[in-house]
Amino acid sequence: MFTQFVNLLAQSEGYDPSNGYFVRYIVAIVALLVAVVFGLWKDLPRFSITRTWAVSNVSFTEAIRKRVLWVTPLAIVAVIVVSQFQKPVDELDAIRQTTKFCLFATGMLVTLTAILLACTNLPKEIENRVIFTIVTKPTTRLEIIMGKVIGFARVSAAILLIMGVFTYSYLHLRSWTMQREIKQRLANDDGVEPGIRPTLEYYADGGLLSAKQFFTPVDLNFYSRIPQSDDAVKWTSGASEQSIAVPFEIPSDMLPADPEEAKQHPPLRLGFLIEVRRTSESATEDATAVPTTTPATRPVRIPYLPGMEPDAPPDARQPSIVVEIYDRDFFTIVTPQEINSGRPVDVQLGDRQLVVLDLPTAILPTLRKLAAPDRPARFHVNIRGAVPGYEYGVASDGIALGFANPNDPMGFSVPIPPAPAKADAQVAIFRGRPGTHGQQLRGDKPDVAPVAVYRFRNQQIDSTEGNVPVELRAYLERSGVDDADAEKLTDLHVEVVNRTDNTRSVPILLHPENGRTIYANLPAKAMAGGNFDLVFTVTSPGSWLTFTMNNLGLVQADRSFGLNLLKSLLILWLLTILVVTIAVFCSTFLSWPIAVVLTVLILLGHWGVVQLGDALTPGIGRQIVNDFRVQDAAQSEVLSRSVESLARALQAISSVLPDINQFAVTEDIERGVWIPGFAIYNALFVLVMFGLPLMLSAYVIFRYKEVAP
Amino acid sequence: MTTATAPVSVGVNTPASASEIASSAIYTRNLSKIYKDFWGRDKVRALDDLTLTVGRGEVFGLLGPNGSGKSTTIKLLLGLIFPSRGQAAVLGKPAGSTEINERIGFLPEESYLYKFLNGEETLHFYGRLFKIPRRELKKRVPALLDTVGLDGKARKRKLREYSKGMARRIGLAQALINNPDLILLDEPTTGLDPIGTREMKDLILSLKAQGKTVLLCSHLLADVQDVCDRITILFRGKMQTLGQVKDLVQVKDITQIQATGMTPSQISEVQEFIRRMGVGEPTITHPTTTLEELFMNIVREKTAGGGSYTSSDT
Repeated sequence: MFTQFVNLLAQSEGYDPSNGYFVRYIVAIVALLVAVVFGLWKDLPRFSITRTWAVSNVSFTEAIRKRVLWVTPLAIVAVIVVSQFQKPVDELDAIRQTTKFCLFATGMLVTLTAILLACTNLPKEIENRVIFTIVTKPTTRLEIIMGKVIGFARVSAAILLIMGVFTYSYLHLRSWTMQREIKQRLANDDGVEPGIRPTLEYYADGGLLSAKQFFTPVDLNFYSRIPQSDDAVKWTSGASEQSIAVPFEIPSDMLPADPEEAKQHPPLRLGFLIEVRRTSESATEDATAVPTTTPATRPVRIPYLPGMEPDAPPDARQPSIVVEIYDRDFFTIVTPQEINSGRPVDVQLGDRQLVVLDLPTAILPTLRKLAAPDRPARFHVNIRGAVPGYEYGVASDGIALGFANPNDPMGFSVPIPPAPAKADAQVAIFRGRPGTHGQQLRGDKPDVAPVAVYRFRNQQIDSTEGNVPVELRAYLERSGVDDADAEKLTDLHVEVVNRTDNTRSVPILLHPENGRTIYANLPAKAMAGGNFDLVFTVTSPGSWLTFTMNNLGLVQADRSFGLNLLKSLLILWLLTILVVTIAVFCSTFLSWPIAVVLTVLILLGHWGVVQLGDALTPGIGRQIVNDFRVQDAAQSEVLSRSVESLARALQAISSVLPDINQFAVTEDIERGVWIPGFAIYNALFVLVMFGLPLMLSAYVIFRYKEVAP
Repeated sequence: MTTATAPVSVGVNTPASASEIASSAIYTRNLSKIYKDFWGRDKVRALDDLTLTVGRGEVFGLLGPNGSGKSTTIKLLLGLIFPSRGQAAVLGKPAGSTEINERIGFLPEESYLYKFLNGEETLHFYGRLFKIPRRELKKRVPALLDTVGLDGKARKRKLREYSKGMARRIGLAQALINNPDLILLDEPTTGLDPIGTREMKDLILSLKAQGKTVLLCSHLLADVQDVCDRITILFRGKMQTLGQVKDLVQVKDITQIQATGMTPSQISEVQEFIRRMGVGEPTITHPTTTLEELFMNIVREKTAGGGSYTSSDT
């Protein structure tokens, strides 16, 4: 049972064995041992559910008689008022925003109530000496601590129940009203634009409250053409529009720490087989046009390089590629200017050619900074065709990396194998251009337009009859080449390519609008066998459409919204139990105002450190020294070491603090997505791994506390 | 006038045998409690080397002025605080152990109870802490409320609405909910009117009659004198005296002769006779009753026609 539980967690998202969980196991075991030694061996055999329940009853009754539940109508009024001021894109968005308000209000209310009740209870009972009459009964301190936690968990459950019933009723009322209005609009043809008619019909038929379970794609790739299943080489567009990224991992001990040491180190050698062919002219006409919106989420600097001048005719330019290095999240850490002396690498038009490039040794310390003591440096080598008018083809396994063999200009002394994120993912990731909301796909004429491909593998298709609904929330950007087209609808084609029998479904035409979810029905027959690709093509030249792994939903099943709400409330309840445990722990040795502050700090500590992100990576000390322009060597050393130590301490502390991201439920339920079972397991895991040691610690502290002031 | 010198056991550190500890209701040896300041320095010596044995079935009084260490002793015996030095055992087990709490009843100096519960709920709650079955509690709770003199209306009222006397009564009821072998009463008559005080004393005597041990802590000396078999007097944390009440209060060098129906001439004859014996000038007075007796007599007369006196009338 326990093994199954751990295995399930290991398979679930959000569980990363290298992410401090090992430390938490150790902390939990140490807390248990300390508790056993300091009295648990004596008190556990005496543990009585009757006494614990009696203590919890009193805590529950106190909260109820102090009219804690009266705060729920306030929250309900707040939700209704705020709902009136929302500006939704459409009816579904209105429901989603209302769902978000309701859950946010519920979460805030229940968490704050839990913190205040649990932090104040024990200090006040000690202060007014009611505790005298409890501890002088045969009640163990373990029963008192557990009774308090259970009592406040019951109060939280009551609040969640009231807010849950309100949320369910209010959303159903709004949904029902809106659905009726949509049906009337459709029946009267009242201002229904052709582009949104399918969406409105979808709302009218399927309702606005949903809990959909989606098929999960293996990956998302962008190609200049739809790849055939037997294509070893896949093609990307030039003009830096698309690129090929291959993930690698190098242990930190294989990388030099400082630039001086790096000079003596063999360089990283990159070798790849590439094919180049000319794109038909129609494909290139908009390729270099600049979109009206800013494309990048981070300043990904695309250098001005010879051969990239947009004014030069395509034929006059030599095909070339540029190489850069991204971190695990695809942020640039080594720019093309730092590689090959800042020049693009020329390649020849034609079939496979081997390119070997030694990367400068100066980048090795930069790569080392990506590593942690328990984690190798993970990065992506990114290759993109720099010159428009060409397509660049690379086999998925056609890129190799290793430390250069000084005796062989083409060989490796230590080869480094690629490290795909998932076992079934492609080694090479074919990426679109980074945009504000994701990766962008350029629109072009139907025969030459590039494609975005979502790969689905080994999916369980229950029936090959009928249709499978697909949802897509895409962001639209126009290049502004032809203003007259601005009013036109953007044409997006979606088709299913079955990789089992290599058949293609008839493309379905959609008209996406910026930031709005659109719907289509795809033939289930085309997905038979469970191995298929969803291929999107924008056939409106000048339009760019943004895709991410999460903005597509291929509906596997439509489940009960009420049950989904119940699951989200259950996860919220687990969060409040954790909150109560932390609060009770803090209140065993602190006055209640300080206990409130410490509870909030413990609760948000891990999240806060995660938010600091790159600011705590190794090398921050040196960066601070540079930012403050400390000239003195001794001072800069002290400052650098202090900052590094502080960063390490913060990371160490955060690794044993609870990860409250595991309790995030709003996003899924707001998007109408079925909350997966592992979300509950993950929340439960955090609760057990953190709440249990904390409760045992609270017991030990309270057991040896003199309760008579 | 000189009083009897009691056999004070201050400083007597002879260790008791295991059987002596097991047979005694309360046993302490060199029990001390020193409160320290933030820096760990001695701040207050609340109890200093208390060595004491209270036998089973005894009503024992802890006397002393405020701050003499009475409540500290009780807190140490109950495990509310831990000794700085010394040893304490209750009913043969180390003081503060939860299993021995099954047989102990404790009335704190003020009724520290949940104010949002009513009388019945309070007793049900404490009863459940002793794992007394609900069915049994349904019988025991009304009986106890009757015993302590809380009527039907009072039982349903929240404790925050209780008068001080009523709070003492419900506090006493919770101390007796488990039918304890040892009852520790800290200032039990505080806040009670004379009738309540008398009832409390009667209750203590009835507990003694049932073979229970009572440790009574008070600075109202008359109350202690009426019910206690033995007492000790604490002052500034140290035991000053210990012994039987009648021995301690007896004035050994004065003889009192009582008689009823004597005429003035007979009284003069007696006086003359004592003078002739040469033992000093005799004092002839009429004995006085206590104010408590006077009060009780008046109330008895007024309620003789019927009705009862319960705490909801207070």
